[in-house]
Amino acid sequence: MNNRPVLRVENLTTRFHTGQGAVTAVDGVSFEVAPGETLGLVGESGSGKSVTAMSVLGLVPKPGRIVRGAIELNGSDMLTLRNEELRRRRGKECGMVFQNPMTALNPSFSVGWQMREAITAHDKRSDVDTRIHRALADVGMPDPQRQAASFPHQMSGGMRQRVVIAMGMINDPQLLIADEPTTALDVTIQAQVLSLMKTLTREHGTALLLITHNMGVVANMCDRVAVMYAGEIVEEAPVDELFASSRHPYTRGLLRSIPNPDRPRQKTPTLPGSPPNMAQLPTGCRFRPRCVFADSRCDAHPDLLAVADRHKARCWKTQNGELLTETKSLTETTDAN
Amino acid sequence: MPTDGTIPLLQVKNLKRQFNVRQLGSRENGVLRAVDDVSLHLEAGESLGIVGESGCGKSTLARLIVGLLEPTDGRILIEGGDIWASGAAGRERRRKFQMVFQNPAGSMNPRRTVGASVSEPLQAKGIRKTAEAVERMLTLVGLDPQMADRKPHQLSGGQQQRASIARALIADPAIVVHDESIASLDISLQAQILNLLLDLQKELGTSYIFISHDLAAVQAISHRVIVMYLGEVVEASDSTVFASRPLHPYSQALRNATLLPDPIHERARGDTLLRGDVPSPINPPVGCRFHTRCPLATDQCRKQKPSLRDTGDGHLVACHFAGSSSQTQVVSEGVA
Repeated sequence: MNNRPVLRVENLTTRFHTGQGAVTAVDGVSFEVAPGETLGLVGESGSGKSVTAMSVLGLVPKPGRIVRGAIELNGSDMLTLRNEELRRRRGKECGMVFQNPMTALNPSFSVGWQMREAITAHDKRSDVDTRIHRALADVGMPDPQRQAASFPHQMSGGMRQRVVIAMGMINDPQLLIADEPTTALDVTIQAQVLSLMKTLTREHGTALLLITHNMGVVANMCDRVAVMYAGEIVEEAPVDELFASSRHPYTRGLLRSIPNPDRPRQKTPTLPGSPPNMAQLPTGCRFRPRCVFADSRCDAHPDLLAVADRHKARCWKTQNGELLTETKSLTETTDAN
Repeated sequence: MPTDGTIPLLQVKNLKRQFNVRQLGSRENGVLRAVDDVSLHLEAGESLGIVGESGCGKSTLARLIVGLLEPTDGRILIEGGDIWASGAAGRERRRKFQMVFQNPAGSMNPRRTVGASVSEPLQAKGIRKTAEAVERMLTLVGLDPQMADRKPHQLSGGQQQRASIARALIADPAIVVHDESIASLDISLQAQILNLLLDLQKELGTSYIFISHDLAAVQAISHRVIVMYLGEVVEASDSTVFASRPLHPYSQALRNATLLPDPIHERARGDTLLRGDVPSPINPPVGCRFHTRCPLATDQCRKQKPSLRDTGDGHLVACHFAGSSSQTQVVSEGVA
């Protein structure tokens, strides 16, 4: 993996001009995805993770606009491309899978028709039918010929999401962007779909940018993780390191607030408060109002800096080598029985 | 069921609810048995968790229990009295239930203040002076009492859900049914609400029925857990016992499919995926309804429907093989 990254995002800033003033949904976000690597982009609603994905694809909805930054896909700058050229690259070099397979598919056309469109948009010569059937077989659809002729409403949610994945992968892209691909699915189906995505991206050497709020999905799928909070990346680390020794109080709090199924009727430690209103961000560190470790240093806005090998955090305390020593409010686990 | 002869707070007996549905592309009407012969009980101050995937009938069951839907067959008894008894007696019993819905924004009138919405159950009882009770209740769920004057859209999602909980609790119900009440919240807020529910239960002694697709959330709140599949109860157990030893192959699959925030555990995860999708509830499989997806299924399962039997200590399971040695093997493959 010493060649250049498939995707390089630098200092990306995407702003929405709304009635209540400008909202900077993504603020100076930088990251890279190496060939074949799975990078998780994690955060809660409003953290900017989906807008980051949309920015990469050149699909930021109005009134949003990329105001700064660079996005390089396979070494070429996506932001300077004309629409026509962008369309040529999108779907070929970079596939996508969205959260809701019902809205990602057109209800009036057969699945095969839609897959054909995805292929012929980039390649008019090849044997399209064979490719469609092979792609459907690859995502574990029994009887691909029959499935290609069926319509989205005739399929279950899990089947539809398999179709969307098949479409995302059909031009064998170097990068697949998946935005909450399993959030709308039941847990047993989620397990099937994740396992499928893992197998497919591995077999094809496809890099995956996986956007999710689910830490279990991250643990299951990702090589590296970037955690977003209030429009910024606050921590970035290899997956094992992130879960074992997170260096940002937000990541730490988030990981601890997941109920443990092995210990029923126990209180879960929580993060106090809720994420800030993006139109009225706190000054200094954006996590400060919810942070149990905050001190006077946090009046100033911290940068995302290395805290260990391949590990970055946006926190004055850990950048200074200090530990996030557990305080009472984080470790409190009263027995509720 | 208590053995000392006292009546449980809530008894649900052989509850059934059918819907007539027109199947796509066919002129014939089908019958969807959303809830098919479900029995359960709940004690005062206890939480019962109901877990299952979409289409298992858990939301229909919730609506039946609170009296929003009438059952096709079966009975719901509160303190021994039928909630569908005619006249004032039935009405009075149905008032002992309250419900918290999934989407807090959609379950509150956007034009009324939060305080007006929260006071509604009291007004329904004919109580006019509610300001003090609203203030006390909002404080109890961790909201600033001044929020009473705001409209729902001025509150965050977590605050809205706290207000819905305040509304559910204000008229002192015996049972609050939560139907996916934390599913639409962010993770950090989910934990806050779960903790709040535990605290409120301790303080007020309210019983909960907590319905969710999320096994971890259900276990976090429940004394007992019921697993549903295609309208039926497949397992019912004390939640501590269930956490360490789920018996039904479907419960085990649900548990195995629950991803944990632990990459080392996740890498070691065995590949015990359930094949296929949940079959249509209009034509459920004969015999054991889970046999089409079950790794243990035999001819017996395809022919004969297993009954819900007690494996000891009130741990009920509807499986021909649950607890046998061949099954233990399947469990251990789950986490290698």
